[in-house]
Amino acid sequence: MEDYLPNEYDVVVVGTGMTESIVAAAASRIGKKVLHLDSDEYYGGLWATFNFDGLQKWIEDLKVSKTSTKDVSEVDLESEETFLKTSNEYSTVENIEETWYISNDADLPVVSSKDTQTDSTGDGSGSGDEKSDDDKVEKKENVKQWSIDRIRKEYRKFNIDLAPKLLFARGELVELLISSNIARYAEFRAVSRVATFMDGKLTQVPCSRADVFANKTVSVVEKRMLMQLLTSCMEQGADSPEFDGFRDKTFLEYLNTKNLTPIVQHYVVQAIAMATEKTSCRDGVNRTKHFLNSLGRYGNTPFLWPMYGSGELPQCFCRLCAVFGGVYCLKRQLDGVVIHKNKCKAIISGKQKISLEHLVLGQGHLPPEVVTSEGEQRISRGIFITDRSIMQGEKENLTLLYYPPEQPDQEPVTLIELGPSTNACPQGLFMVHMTCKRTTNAKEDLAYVVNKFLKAEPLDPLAIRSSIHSHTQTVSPDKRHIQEGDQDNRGESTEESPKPQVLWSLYLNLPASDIKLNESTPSNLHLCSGPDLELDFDFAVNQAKSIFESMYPDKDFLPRAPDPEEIVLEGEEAPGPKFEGDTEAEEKQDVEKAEKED
Amino acid sequence: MAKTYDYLFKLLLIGDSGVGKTCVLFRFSEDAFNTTFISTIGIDFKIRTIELDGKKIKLQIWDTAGQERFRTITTAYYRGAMGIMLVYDVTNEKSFENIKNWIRNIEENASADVEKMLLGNKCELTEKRQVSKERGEQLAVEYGIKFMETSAKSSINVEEAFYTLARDIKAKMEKKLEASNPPKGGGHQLKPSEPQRKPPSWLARCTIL
Repeated sequence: MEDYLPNEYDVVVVGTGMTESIVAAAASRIGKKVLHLDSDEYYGGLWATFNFDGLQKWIEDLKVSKTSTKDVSEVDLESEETFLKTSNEYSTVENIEETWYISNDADLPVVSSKDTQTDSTGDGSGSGDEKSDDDKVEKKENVKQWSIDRIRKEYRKFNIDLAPKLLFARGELVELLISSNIARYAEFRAVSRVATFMDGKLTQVPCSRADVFANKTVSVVEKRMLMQLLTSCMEQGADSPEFDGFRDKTFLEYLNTKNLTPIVQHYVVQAIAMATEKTSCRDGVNRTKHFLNSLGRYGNTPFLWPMYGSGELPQCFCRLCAVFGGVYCLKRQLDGVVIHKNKCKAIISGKQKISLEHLVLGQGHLPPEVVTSEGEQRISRGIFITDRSIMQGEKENLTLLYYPPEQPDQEPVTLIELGPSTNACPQGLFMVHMTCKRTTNAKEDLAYVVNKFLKAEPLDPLAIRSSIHSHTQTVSPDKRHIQEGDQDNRGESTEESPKPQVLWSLYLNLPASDIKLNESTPSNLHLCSGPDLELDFDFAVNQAKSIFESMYPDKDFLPRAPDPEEIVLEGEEAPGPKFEGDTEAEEKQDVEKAEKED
Repeated sequence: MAKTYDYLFKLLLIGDSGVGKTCVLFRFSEDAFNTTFISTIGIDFKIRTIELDGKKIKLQIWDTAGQERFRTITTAYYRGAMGIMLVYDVTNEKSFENIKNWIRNIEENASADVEKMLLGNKCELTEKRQVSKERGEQLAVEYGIKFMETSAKSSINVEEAFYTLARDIKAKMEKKLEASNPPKGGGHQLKPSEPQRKPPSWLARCTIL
């Protein structure tokens, strides 16, 4: 039975993707009555992050169509009202291909080792079938071999993103999280290195000033050259006379006039601007500026990664929406939209007709009648669980790599590699995300990068790679336990290490994010796009801002939410006991009353 | 900024709508009772610093923001929680039955070693009681967690409950610290005494504030 919802709202938001969630939070924050629905039972839509089990369910569910079967005749309409059925066709995920490269436990050879595993049983998850003690001992002897069973068993330790995105340290989203005080709901890790492929191998790009000076591959002259170029991009911006002659030229054409050495040019184009041969000079300069602007704020690269995955972030905005009174209901189907005199008047969901002033729809919930273009910016994604980093270092890294096309018919690929400290995967594994613009299908589009950096072939269970765990790489099974506690002792040379073995992979194609609505669409119907191709969330933030502005032009967009210490309940003179040493509370006690604007 | 506490514990309140989670929270944090905040608007979390064995412990107690109503609590709500108060209403059988569902929800989303405690609230309403104290105790034993009956209205056991939970978390944490293995680079490290507004350091897990 479905839940009965109150049936009158200022704003109804359908879909819990990034843009939808920001709009919901912003409307609720200024006192609007918000209803936020999602047909799925999880938050995030195509922006979601799943654990391994959740991802498997998601893949299964894709096979079942969720489109509403409701007919116009079943809907109770008043005169002059029309009913538009909504469709999920604009959020269709295609070409799903999941592959295992490892075996089940039963197929693994027994390794004789006294090694005992201490951590994986500790979380009490998924221990559905308890085996006899003997069996367990047997298992533990297989310790560091990853099997399908083991990955399934440790499903909770994975956080797998459908649409992984980074935040520029001074990008729109970071600024918004801070100014709105939503930052307190999330945690981040700094991307620890930006890599680039140069002279046949991966190298770390010097990002910070200190990095640049410590770098040995760049000469002093080159360093000066680099600093000069970056300074002019930074200080003058794309409108500066410096770039006058290049308004209709490419970034590369501009750089060619600067007599840069190949290394410097490579850094600027491929790592800093993440540009291709086609990138315009204006875009290149802007991208360079964006990168530089974000340096030095949180780490030694300009990027942050949300702990537990990108799918956490929409939820943070949902939480704020709920704190200010927004009503949440998941697993709730939107059947259609009621139009009256070219205005959205209500939605139909199950047996209810829910009236509204504004309707905000994720692209998976649009009536086909209002769509004029399905968009072209489709996305190819590849997700890989691997046994080591693409570029081993002395400590765990969070790596960003931009890899430009090798052939004219290929698209540049963004690669993000996450380690266990981001909670993307258990200890001993890495999670690699690849993203590019779709040309054929995900697997074909990404093949050239996969082949370059990963070993995506089935692993013969009999040929034990002694290297499943990076720090036990060259140690025979008998000696492994000696090294086990010795996490620091893993300084291998960067060049010689073999490619990471893929244990599991998933390819998929996400729908286009640039859907267009036709001009006759009711003005109180607002479209929220799915994940776009860019590395960051700026597109979603800006779209949310412009939706909010068109709904409530005179209102503040997500003003700072008060801290709990600042909230003083009406009619209560004393703000409760003072807590010794709680300086934050003392500072702000009388700052703000928790009254809701209307 | 000088360190104003030794430990920071993030605690959650979980349970059906209307069992009195927000009232329990206000009783503990403000020593106040107010029946007017029926739905939980504007309340994110409350803070109270207590002292245990000479250590200052800052308790940051999060409310569900009403997202429990249609069982839509975000996974993000559970992140980093060290203790969870499972609350039911002794005058509401259904809320007691649902505790099992909430525990399943916790197992799915919260950290595996999160400390849990069961509270039967509104115990002052003896006339309307539907769930006996014994059944509450029984359920708690089943899950191996502690149990108390509370009344936010009459100020019974609320203080005790939070102190108990905090003490258990503290004990667990100190045991862990003792047994350590120097901390790994992992993301599950407890950060005992990090002031909240410390600017994030390089490569550290950071909160942008």
